[in-house]
Amino acid sequence: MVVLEFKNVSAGYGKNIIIHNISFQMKKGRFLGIIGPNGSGKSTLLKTATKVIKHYTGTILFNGANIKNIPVKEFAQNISFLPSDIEIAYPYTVKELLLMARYPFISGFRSPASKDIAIVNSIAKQMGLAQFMNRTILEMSEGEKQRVLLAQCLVQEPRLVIFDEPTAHLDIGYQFSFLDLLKQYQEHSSLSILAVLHDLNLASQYCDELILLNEGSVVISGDPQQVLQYKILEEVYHTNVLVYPHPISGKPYVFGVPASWKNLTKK
Amino acid sequence: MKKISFLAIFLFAAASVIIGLSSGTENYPLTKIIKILFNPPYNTFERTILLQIRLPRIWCGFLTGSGLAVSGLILQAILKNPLAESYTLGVSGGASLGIAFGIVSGHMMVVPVFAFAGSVVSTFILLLIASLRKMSSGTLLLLGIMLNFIFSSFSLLIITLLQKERFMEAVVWFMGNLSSYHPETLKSAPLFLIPAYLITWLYWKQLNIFSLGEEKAITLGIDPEKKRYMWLTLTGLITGYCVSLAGLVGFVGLVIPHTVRILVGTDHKKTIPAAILAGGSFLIIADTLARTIVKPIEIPVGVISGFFGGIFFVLILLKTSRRQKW
Repeated sequence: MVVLEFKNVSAGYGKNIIIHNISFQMKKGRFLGIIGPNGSGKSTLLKTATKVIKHYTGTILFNGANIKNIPVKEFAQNISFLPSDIEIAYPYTVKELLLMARYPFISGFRSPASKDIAIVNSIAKQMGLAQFMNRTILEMSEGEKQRVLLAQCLVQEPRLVIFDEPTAHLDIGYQFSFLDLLKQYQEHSSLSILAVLHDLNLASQYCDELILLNEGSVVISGDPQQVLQYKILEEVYHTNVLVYPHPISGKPYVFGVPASWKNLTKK
Repeated sequence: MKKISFLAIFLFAAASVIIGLSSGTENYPLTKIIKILFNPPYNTFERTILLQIRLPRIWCGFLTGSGLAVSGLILQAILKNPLAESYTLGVSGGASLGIAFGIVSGHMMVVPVFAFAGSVVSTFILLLIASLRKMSSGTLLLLGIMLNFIFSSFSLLIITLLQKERFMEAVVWFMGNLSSYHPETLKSAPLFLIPAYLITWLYWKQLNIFSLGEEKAITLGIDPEKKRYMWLTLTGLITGYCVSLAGLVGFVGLVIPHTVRILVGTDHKKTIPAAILAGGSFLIIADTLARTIVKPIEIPVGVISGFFGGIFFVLILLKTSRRQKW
């Protein structure tokens, strides 16, 4: 079953078109990674999928329905989004932030019900946030903060989560624990995940499928083995790389090569 | 802690009313106020002072202060910027232009109407420019500050060119004061303001989501582009009423929301009622000082609220900046 489909989507900001004729299908329960150099249109693609960018040509379907026709509240009941570098301007507590993710399910002027609070508490517990509930987000470290924002996305009980570089400012421990948690949800509740990942190796280890963008167009898509080939990567990223299988998973692992090593034999 | 803060704000509000009633050219202690109000005869001179002069002025201060505080709170949420308030969005400039026209017209009765019109028109000019192209909230704020400069320069030009002799009158309006409200304005303002406060409070969830930023808002069920204009219109109207009551009382819209967040937390379910109470009672206290500090001269309330409020806020900042970050 296809959860998200792009059909010939071109989008950008005003007259500046950034992505061109993007088409792809994303199956339910899969982890789809978007990779590509800076400025290749990764974030634009996500913003178009989440209705942040409204003016585009082509069609985007969620579960077969055009997202333009899905009311904003219903949209929020199905899709959660974590933008890159999200800055929380005010000192909300963790509990308040998590409860906000229940608002799309609360009708009218009502307050969150005990069911909503139960969902918040159970996800906070699963993610090791139970003891932080009354702390404000501004007091937390980058890693903790990102975990709160992930929890917020999950409290929404979405079918599809969309992340824009969720691990960008995290140390290696937090990077793996973030993606491990996500992977658990993917496996247990057949959550579909669409994420822009900067780190090719994290993308390779965690994603089921990858789409490589360059200058707003799809270069290649497929499983990590198909996409992460050194010839393709060298052309797109304009640098020398080596690609070897990961010793445990066997998935491709990309090594950068400084220019001064150029005279050494490759592969 | 938060519950105690709420109680403290309530007590502060109650105290502000009592202090406002008891202070003036002649000070009445609380026991005397109770005696005047609840014991016959009901036609004393003191009773007239309390009910016809001091009480309406307290009510006027409450409405103005609460309106400015609520507008500030709304704008800070929808623009996700803690520096936003009606006055940084050009409304004060628009209002001062209205005031200038009102004073030049020579009929003091129309000044409040013109002030209201100025605030609302400047809000719509801001909305109009903002709708021409997609703008980030930071750009919108800058646009408001620029509009403010343009409008207020123009209003000073009008006053200095046409009615130099009435410059002081204009200054009193520009500084904000609670002594020259019109009874008609005071009667009609609450008919709009009180429902506006209730509506704002009903939408506390929406303000919470707004304050996370526009990118996050859509996937939490709010279309920020449409709703932003509705909120801007509401704050334009609220501020318009405040300005028509008391002129340009600055500062309240910026400082009260911050103070309230420190006291009761950030959740708008709590900050909205707290801002209404705290904003209202802050201005009552400021006005009581304004009319008693150098008796019998009345200082514009904006001077007092700016001076003491500013010092108070710097103290709060010094005390809390280590854990609070804006």
